[in-house]
Amino acid sequence: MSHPYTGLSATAFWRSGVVTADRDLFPGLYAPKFAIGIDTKIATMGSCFAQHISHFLRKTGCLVLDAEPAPRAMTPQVAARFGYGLFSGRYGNIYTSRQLLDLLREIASGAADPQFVWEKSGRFYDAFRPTVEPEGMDSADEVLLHRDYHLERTAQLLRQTDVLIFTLGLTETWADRDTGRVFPVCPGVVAGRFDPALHCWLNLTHADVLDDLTRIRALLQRFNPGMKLLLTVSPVPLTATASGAHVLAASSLSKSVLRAAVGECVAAHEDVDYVPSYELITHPAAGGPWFNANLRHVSAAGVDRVMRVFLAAHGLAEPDRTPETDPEATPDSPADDAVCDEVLLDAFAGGARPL
Amino acid sequence: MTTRICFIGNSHLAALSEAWSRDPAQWPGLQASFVGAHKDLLLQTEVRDGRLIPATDDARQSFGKISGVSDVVLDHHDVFVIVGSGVALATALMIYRDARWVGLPSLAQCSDLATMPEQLISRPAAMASMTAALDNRLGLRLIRHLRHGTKRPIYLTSQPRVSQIILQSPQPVTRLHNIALRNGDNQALSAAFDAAAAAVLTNAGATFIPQPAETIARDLFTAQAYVKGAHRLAATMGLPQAKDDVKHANAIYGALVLDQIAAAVYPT
Repeated sequence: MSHPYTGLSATAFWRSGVVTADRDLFPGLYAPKFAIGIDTKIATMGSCFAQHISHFLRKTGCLVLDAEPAPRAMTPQVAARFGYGLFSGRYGNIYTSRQLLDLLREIASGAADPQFVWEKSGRFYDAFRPTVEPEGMDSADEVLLHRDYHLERTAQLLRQTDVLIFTLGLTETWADRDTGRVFPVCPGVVAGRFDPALHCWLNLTHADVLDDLTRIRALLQRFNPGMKLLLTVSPVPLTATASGAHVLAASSLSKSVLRAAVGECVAAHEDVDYVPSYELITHPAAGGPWFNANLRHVSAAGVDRVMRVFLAAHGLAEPDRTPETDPEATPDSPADDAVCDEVLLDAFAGGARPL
Repeated sequence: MTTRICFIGNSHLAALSEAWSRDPAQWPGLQASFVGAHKDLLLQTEVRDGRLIPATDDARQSFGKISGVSDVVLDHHDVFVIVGSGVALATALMIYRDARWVGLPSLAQCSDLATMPEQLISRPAAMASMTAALDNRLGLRLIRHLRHGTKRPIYLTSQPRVSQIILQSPQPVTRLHNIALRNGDNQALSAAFDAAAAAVLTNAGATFIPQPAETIARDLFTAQAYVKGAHRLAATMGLPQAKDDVKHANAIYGALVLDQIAAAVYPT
């Protein structure tokens, strides 16, 4: 007697797909819809987990574009502090689908909005990437000059991109009430001043995220028809929630919303795909634990594991394993190098000392 | 009262030691000794029991041949002056090679920043790049080394800018000087270097002595009068200057630096 489950592949069944499978590479877990080769022009954006993807792909020899490369004489430490080389541009962390949508719309508009310059102690910051200039700038005009430059360079990047890898991190965000534009960090944390009359908290729903992703895809096609969108969901939990819920529950909700919306977007579009980094890090069947002692940051071994699955699926060679870090560094340290703006919220954890 | 100064440095030390040996009476109240070594040999030393002691055969040879000493008793000196040792304008030019920032006149003339071949970076990023590079130079490493054995004041004198003679016969190594000059960025670059050097020295618990103003030509160069006839640090002093030497200054220059040190030690 025949039914829909007869003839399905081994990956469709828990026992053969998980329990008895090679749980290192999880064959079939990531079955790419489109190929990525050594010559594919890749751009990366997203939450801090996206920095690992970017770094790893570069080490592998993949063609990861860089719209705003660091000057050669800039040391790696200074470059990272000023937001160079973390992604394919100096947009800083893009945590939410709304933040990316806003950025693409701003690029399309062709000019920076002068109202989004934050001030702190006489220094001026770009509200949409306040941490890429840790010392701020001399004037609001200088911030806008740099933002216009950033927008134009990012537009040039997108016109060249074959595959954009975007890692969604959060659903919770803070927005400007008038325009709806969202910020990577709450006003007042890095710079600026929080004003409840001007700023509001948003927790994007499944429908919001799905709608954002659909619009993002359409806008990307305008930059480069044929550009593919490769989505991942960051396994890194929230640093803090403003929802009133426990942060653990808020994390689950946020990641579930992102994962569901991404799944639906992928199902709807042939040129949108998903890399299961979230499952490979967080699911009990995937082993681990793949987190560092703070239970937030993904360990170097965890990043390595995700990327091995990714590279194997695309038939790409793994990077040279020659250690490039201080041999005396702790095993946890390499993956801790990611620059995460939202970690600044840790400073407000009452009495608790972050790990 | 006599102030005992220990001058420590690489090949640029020769300008100062020659100026001193010509007429030490020009600097009454100062008592100078000179400890020189090539390249990074000064770091092949250890600070132990209040002394700076060569730790390798090469360093030992260098101390003996060039300076005639086997070690330096740190307590026998009131002030230390690090000479040259890589703290040079080239640090600013290296970042200028592929970056521009607000404050450089050429940026104001650029009509389309996004298409210029260089990166637009912020002034803090430019300064952070310079200070990070300077912090890794021999002079700064030497200061940190000495700080293990002394709390006495330490000064560091700028390495002289390259000779202005390169304007007549450009060399590949000075391509950036010519670009900066053509772009009108020379003054801003010179000021940026001096500011970065002062900041990094302050951070290291020492004081930066910039190149004497009267020796500087067009912001980026050392006037030829202060380069001609320069001697390099060698076991046998007085060897003639190599024809292609555009980096070392002469004893006239050295005398002006000694004036700066005297003024710093005895401020009026």
